[in-house]
Amino acid sequence: MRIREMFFVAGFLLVATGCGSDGADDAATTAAPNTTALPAADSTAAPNTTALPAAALPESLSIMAPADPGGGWDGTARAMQTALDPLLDGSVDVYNVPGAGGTVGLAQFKDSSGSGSDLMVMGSVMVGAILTNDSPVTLEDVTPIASLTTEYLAIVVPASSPFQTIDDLIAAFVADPTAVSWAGGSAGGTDHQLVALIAKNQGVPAGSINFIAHSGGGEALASLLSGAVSAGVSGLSEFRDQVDAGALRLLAVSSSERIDGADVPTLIESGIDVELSNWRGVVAPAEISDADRMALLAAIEQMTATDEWVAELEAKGWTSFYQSGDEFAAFLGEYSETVKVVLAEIGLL
Amino acid sequence: MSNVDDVGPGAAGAHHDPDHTTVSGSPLARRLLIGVGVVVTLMGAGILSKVGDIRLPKGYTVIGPRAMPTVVGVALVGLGIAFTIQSVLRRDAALLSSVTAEHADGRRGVVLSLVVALVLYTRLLVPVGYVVTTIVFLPVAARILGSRSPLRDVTVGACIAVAAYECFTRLLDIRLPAGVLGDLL
Amino acid sequence: MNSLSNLIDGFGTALQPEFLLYCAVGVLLGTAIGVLPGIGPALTIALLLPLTYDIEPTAAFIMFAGIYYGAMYGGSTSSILLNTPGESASVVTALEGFQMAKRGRGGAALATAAIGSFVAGTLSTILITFIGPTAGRLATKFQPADYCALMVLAFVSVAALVGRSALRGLISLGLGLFVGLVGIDQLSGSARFTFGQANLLDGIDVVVVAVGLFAVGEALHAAAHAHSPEEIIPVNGRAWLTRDDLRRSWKPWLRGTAIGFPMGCLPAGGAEVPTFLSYGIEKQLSKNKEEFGKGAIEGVAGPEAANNAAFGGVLVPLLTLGLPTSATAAIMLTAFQSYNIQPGPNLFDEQGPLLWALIASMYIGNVMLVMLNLPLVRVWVKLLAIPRPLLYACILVFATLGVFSASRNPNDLYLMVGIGVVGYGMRYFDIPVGPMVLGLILGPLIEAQLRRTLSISQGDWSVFVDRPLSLSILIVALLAALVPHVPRLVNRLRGRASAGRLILGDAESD
Repeated sequence: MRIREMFFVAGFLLVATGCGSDGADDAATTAAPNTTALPAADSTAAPNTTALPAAALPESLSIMAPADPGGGWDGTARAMQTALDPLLDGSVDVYNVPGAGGTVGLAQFKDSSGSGSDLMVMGSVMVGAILTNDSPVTLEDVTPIASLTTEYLAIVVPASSPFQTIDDLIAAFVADPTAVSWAGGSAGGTDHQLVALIAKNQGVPAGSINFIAHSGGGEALASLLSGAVSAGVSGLSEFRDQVDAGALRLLAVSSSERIDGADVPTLIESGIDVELSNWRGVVAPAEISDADRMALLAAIEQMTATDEWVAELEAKGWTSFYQSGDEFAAFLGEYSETVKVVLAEIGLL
Repeated sequence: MSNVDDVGPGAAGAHHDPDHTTVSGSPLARRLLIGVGVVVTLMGAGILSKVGDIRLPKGYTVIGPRAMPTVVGVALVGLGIAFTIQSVLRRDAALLSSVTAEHADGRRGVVLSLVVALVLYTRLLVPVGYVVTTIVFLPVAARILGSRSPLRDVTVGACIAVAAYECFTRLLDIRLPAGVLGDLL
Repeated sequence: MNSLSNLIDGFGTALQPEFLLYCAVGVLLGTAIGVLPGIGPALTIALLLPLTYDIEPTAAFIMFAGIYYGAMYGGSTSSILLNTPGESASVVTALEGFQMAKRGRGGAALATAAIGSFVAGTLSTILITFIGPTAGRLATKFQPADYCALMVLAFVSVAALVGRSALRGLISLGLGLFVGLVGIDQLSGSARFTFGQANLLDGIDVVVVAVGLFAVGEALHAAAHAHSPEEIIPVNGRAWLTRDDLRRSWKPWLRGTAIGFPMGCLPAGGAEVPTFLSYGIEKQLSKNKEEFGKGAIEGVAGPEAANNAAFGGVLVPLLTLGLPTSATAAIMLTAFQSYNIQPGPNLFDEQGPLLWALIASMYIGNVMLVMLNLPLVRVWVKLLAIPRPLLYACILVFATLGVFSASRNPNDLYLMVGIGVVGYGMRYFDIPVGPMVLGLILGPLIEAQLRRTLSISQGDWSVFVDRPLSLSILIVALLAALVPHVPRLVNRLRGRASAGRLILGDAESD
């Protein structure tokens, strides 16, 4: 498991290569730095953090989950609370500022004092929401601290579906695109982006993608189980139990490499050069001092090594995706660019 | 609502029989009701005028994001016109008399002062802080609502403010704004 | 009876004195936090969950069950006493509950809510025990077309909320539908009527609207009439139900459960729709129709039971599919995972003992809720004895506190005040506020399901009549729409009633 997780660190979330020649160039430029960044994931962290004694950790922390209680960001914040509490002298608070894919929280977070004890959980969804909501506050207004977890997407069909393999599904999709309905989470979200990337790769016009948006992966699951829709796209963990129980058939995953315990090909293996994941991380306010930034980096570094954190990941079925400081900032920049292209494709920009 | 029966001796201008079924509607009430109809119609029209601003996505859609707003806009325009006509024709006698009674008995100045107090309270909650604004607002609101025991109201206000602040901030980790008392609390 | 023996084993594990103490502590804490305005069950459970992490699993379940039921009941308490519902499922409770409280019947309202919660909670736990997995399988058969039909049925059945004048009721409904449109459209991702405000992108929270319309609107109305001598209503100190109350409550409890549980089971069901449905049905069936809007006990008993039964039903997709269908359920999923129960299709087979201890805990939590809260009603009712001006001032303070603590967004407070002014205006012109909240809740649901259905069918409307399930629901809806009018239509055909009577409904009978 450990080795696989390391690999995921290298695995870039989104490589949209394929039909167009420009796409192929993208792949070459975006995939390369990340693959080479793999060994750096641990070595670059060292000068930042391990040199600092434990005393330099922030005294207390206040973590914003820019979403309602119960979701992934809230879960991440509360898992951090569990793991950080024993490490720090003071307390670790979690508070929720729900709204608009996290952009409401982001706008409020930008105004926080920068006392060095503020963190906000964020992730791929926020990157998309900033673009589609035309948010005046962007990730330029915060200091990236670290990415923490990731989850790859799965493509499934109801057990009674005529589609046995991903090739069957894609063939039907190419032949009559609107007849294939895709259930997934919010419009413009990661699930929708994956379908758009597949369509682009297969030369299916964006105007005939029949994506049925739901308020979340759970609601999409309900549509799938009722047999109403042709296929579903969501985080692998969302579908896993139903796949094991035989109610859904897993066709493919959106990772670069096959995933343990999911005995299906990746999209790339199936000739669709698309890779995508739903990741989460933390950021600090823009105006923090270097010392504060170092302290936060150190705290997160130490947190990811705690047994509590590992146990939380295990319990929630998340894959570790730890990148610290500058490495995370670079990743964030590339990710935003790619998402911008996909969202324009869907027609949400 | 049923407070038409509450017309007391102090109610200036309460010259109507409180039993509203026998009260004939005043011309003012009729004009007010016509105004409501016009406002509803304009609201519907406003919705319809904004429908075009809703972005249409590129994907396959049968019913797009503009359909429901159009239906609601048309419905409100229709209902608004119907209500206006009904008010002009004085068709709803019960409503006309209840609005007449409400207008005679209700003191809009008092309502306005409570709204102003409420706006100030919500506006100052964050900069000045929860405890201070609440200690001030509660007795003021109670006074506007007719209380004659300022001392009691201040005490209750102080108790609620401090108890709520302590409970939310310390026990529940839901931080209420500390405001000017930031260092003290 | 395999379930039965498992359940008995579960009780064997759960029924120990120290566990019962944990349960009592859970109920008290849950009620105490849940009663705070603006803090709904989801947030209460999220806040109290960490308390259960440090104790052994069985004790944690029991305490959790106590917190859960306490939080649910605490929410109803603030709806009834302060007119400030903490979440959308207790909005309907405020409709009649606060009117009862205003008339000195707060004790009876709280008691019927408590016993109704107990009845509905226990019955739905029994249903989970014996038919949980079956119900879960059946519920997944519902397709978007069927949900659509169900929403139509809900709309038709709650026509009772429209009140005395159809025109005014529809205007209120239209306003609610409009408010429901604000925000990002779920299906296309396009922003609608947000006027460039980021705060509006997620739409306008039902709780903000309900608190604004109910609590603030009512307080403003009270201010307008503050000069009138206050009718002193002797607070009925008795926290118990009279024989008459009981006679009027027991059927609504059962009907509420019958509506709430199955709708809660649906993977896209939730708890709001059943509460509205129950209210509508109780008003239709009640012999005291004229009391509705002025504090009819059926209007508290039915929706409260429906709310609790729906939350019991929500556990079905949660436990059997791992599918949280409400915010509260999402928190519970986290809780179960932290207790090493992984909800999902294999739960009933794989994690038997833990699951049955949990179910046993739910029975115990329910009993504990009634035992602890009925005596407490006496204490709560004392609140109502405080003078009217101070009570309304406190309501405003608590409404503000609730809305602010739920979102920490000052903009929601301005929205609440604005909606409160609208609420006052609606009272002024005798426009009912219920339909507005109904439109706000049902409008987005029906729109989303209709658009999904037609997208999937590629524009083919026949899907509604081709599916037996949606067809039967639509037929029931048609009957529900027609049956109440049959006597009048017959009369009209005989020329006995004027056309005005049809349009104005029972206006003249008021």
